[in-house]
Amino acid sequence: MVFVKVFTLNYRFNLLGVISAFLLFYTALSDNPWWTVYGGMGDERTFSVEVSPFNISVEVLGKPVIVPILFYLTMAARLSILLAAATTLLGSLLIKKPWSKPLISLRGFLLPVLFLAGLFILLNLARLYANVSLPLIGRSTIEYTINYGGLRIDTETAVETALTQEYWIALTAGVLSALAKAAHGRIAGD
Amino acid sequence: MLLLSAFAVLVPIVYGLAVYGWNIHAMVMPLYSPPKIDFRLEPSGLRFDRGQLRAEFKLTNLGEVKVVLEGLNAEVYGPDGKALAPASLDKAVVSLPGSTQTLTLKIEVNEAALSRIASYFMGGRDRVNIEVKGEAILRVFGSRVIAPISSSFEVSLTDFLKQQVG
Repeated sequence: MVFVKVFTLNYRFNLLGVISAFLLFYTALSDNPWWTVYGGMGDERTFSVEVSPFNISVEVLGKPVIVPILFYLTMAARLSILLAAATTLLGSLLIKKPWSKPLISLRGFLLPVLFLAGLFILLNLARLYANVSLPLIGRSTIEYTINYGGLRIDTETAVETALTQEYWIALTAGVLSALAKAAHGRIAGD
Repeated sequence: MLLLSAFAVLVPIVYGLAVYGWNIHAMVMPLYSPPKIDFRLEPSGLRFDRGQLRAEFKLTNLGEVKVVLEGLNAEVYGPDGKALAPASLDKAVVSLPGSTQTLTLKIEVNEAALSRIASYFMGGRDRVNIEVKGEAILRVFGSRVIAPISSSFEVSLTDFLKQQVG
């Protein structure tokens, strides 16, 4: 109860919810990637993949790869999280209203968890079906053979993958929103 | 709340479909135009230097990609298809788009190889076509690439005699 009292500033508003809402606003409005893959050495990049639920950018040999549907899917994810952030903020400020608890959304928590699970599945599919082995975080080398005009061309590319600071901010926002929802339940119980 | 969430997800997707005339195939197909990679390799000179045959080529980068030719594992073959000597790259060549660079192949010619070349001339030819076949080690956009390479040059009787006299 002390925890709830502290984080609601004596039952005036849900502080955890407010913080998580602001972090969710930041996350949803940022174009920075959550996960990156860079292939190549030094300043030269054979390919780069920068992924977040709100922006996906792929470049191969210095030229962009564009999949039109991704723009609309990431826009949908962005709107969905902006809505979650807005309702979480509203629910956290109007703590005394009986309808405030459902406004605190868990979508901010689900998104980074599902993102990580999705990455894990995609990396395993790439390993199984394309024989491309990439770590979730770390370095590796991709060896690939291209048959071009009857010629066999072997390539070897150093690859580095990383979960960025943006991902950890999003996960923090998500965990805070889950805690805010739990705290809100206690307030309703009082 | 649920309705609002559904709208937030569905509106952009429906809008996208409308923009693409409900053509799902056009929406999911990746759009990519790879950079042009094209080279021209032509022989430009030949000289014997202390038991080494140095074949020079003009490498013209007709594409849009910088390529560094780091090495070469190759063999030179006579007109009868028999291997004469190993060939390697004298030094790495950086080929920028639109530029022409000189690429020098070092061919270690021993006594046996010289005798074989001499035998081609004794057959009545005044020029002998030498073929280079092997693998080029390249660096392209930070990747290491091993690609087959094949080119040819001619050794004239005059070049050969100069070497023998020298």
